[in-house]
Amino acid sequence: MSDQPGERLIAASPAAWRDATRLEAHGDHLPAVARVVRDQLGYDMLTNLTAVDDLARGEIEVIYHVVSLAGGAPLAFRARTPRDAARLPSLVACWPGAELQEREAYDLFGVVFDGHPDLRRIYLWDDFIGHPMRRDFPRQGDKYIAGAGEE
Amino acid sequence: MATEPQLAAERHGVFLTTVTRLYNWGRRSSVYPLSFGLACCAIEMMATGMARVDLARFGAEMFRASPRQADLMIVAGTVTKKMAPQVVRLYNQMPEPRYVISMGACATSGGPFRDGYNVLRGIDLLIPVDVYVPGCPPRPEALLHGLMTLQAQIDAQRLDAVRWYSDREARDHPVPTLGQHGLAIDGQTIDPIGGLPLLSPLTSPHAEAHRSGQLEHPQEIRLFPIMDDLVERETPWRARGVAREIAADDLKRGGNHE
Amino acid sequence: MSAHESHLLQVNIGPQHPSTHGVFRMEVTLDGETVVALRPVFGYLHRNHEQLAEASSYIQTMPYTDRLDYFNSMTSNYGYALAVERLAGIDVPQRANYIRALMSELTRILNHATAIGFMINDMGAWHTALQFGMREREKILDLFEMASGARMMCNYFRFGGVVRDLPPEFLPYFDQLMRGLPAFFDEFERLLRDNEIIVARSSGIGILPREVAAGYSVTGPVLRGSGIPYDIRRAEPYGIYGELAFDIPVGSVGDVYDRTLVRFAEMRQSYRMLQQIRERLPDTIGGHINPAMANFGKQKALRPPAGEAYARVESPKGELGFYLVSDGSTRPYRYKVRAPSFINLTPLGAMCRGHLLADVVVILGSIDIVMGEVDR
Repeated sequence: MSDQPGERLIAASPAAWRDATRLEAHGDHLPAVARVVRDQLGYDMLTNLTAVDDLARGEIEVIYHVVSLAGGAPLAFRARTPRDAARLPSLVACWPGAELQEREAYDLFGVVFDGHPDLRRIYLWDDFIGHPMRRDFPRQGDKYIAGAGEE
Repeated sequence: MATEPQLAAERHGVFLTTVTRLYNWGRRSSVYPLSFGLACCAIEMMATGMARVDLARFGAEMFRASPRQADLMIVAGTVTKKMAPQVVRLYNQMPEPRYVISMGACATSGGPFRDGYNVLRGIDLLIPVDVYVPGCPPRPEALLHGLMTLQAQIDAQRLDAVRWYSDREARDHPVPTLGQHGLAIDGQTIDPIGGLPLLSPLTSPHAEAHRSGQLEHPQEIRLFPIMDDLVERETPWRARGVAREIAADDLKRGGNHE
Repeated sequence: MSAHESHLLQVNIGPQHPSTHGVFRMEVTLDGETVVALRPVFGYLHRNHEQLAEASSYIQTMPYTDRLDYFNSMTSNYGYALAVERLAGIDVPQRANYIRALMSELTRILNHATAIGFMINDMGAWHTALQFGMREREKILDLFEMASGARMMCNYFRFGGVVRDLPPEFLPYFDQLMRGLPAFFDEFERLLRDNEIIVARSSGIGILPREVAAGYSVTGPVLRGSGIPYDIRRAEPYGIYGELAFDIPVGSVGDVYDRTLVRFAEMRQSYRMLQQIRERLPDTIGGHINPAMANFGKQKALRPPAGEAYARVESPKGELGFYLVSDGSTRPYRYKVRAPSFINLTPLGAMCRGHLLADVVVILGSIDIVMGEVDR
């Protein structure tokens, strides 16, 4: 991924970026960043939305991959939020396609997306407690035993 | 088997048979499977019904969408914990006599997804299974063989012994609910998300195994030590996480975990 | 409001329903027979693909990707191999790339033939149309079995190439298949494309307008049916797709019929690409796998440098993306699948609103979902 869109991004709204090389946005400025990315840079489709549980730093990182319908490689930008109170603004208003993916990140990682129209669990049932894709969620079975699968 | 008078009678168009045999011949030749696809295996199940393999040759091509019209449930695919209540409910809704083919590794044991937090480790934890078809997914020919095995089982049933003609009442299998920590029956967690199931598999339906309502092995004694001194021969990491009945079973069969 | 005031009715379709393509559930609110609102419910096949991948070494996940989209194991393999190769910086020889593209395009024909069949099954034609698609599928699966040893779950790709070269009997059988394919397309289209009932049931149904399609993140034939010529094989070419000539068919209205027409046309484009691949395949250089990765021990012990990679391929259902985060160990720290069938369901509620209940399953069929990928 080239740095060029990143430089243009910083020129567009310097205050919104926390880390320019990794294109990391401040959580509060996420909707503004998204609008700049969509309207000024022409990345009109949000293709992928992923949460990563960064246990070492105690934070959850949400990564957004956006593409332009004119072609080319996707652009990734991200935002971080503390694990114990994971909250980020929702991007559904900007890209309706974020709806199901934000629900997925909420269900499996426990990231609350403010402003999401219908933030419910998507894969597990409503009564369930816990977010199973977090790294510290208990897991049992052959696969989770240290040394299994390695030579 | 045919004796001389019987052959003579057959020449005149009189056929002698037993009621059981006639009855079983009728049932085995028109098994109606439930049109019930869960995952990958469902595609192979459909391929079995299509032109090349042609399930219709065995009288089982009538896939019914309603459990009330079906007498064979082919559990074709991974049963997740979220889906398990529906599977048991569908089974309870099928009229007797009813049969279950567990198609593929996932339905049989969880298969490759066994350790997924939301995956039921085999449908036989909740409903009894007549025929297990191994494979991931089984080829259509394998499912066909499974059906033929089931037909042989139906042939072996006797009218005076089967439960549904006696006065013993049918009992529904308990339908699990989706609890706060995983599958639950009567408020008691039986298969926690991210844990091991607390029930053993049901045995053959002929033995009429039924849930007592009690948890068979509570979690704390389940983990380690496993069962007996055979465990010493296992590598420690194997012993820590494998379900005890499986580890013990493997050892009894001469399995080597070194 | 007329004198016949009616109450809204809640209807649950699924998870056990013959037309939900597996264990999908829809909560439909009806006014009479008209859909007022539709909420999809997921998770009945959520089998934790991502978590299992994070507990497995990189190559151990390859067979799991087969089970994502169980019609198209080859393209799922392709996307994952591409992501790991990008992460670890592994080159792929030219011949391997040709074999990969060949398998991907065969998969596309297989998928579209069955997807159209399933959709028409949902319309009430039972399995008649599907028989044609499944007949062709069996022939293609025979080829897959020759190359990989398995019908459905091929597990054919490796990092740096494919697991083994095409066997000698593959190409004669492939040529035979190719000779038969145009006749199959003609037959299939004659049977289904201009069929009066199918046109009546599908045109004007489930319209996804061009202006909103991209916002909903839909990809694949759904996006192209709405008139946007976006295809990753063209937008961000991978493998040898930059060298192949092909057209991107697009629809004009964005209804169910357009999506079906796009699938018909894409099968012919895949055939065109297969012809080009077949022509050049004997002259390709390099083996079926990068020699540095040919030993399976190398695959097993792969430790990509710490970092992240996102790779995407045009699977028959849309953009299939794999996002990987490596911490330098033998297992990915984070593994995420951007599943086209899942994200293509985002506008389902909007597309069904105002249509009849009987059209809901047709619209769902035209999106072409596969639950292994929706729920993962």
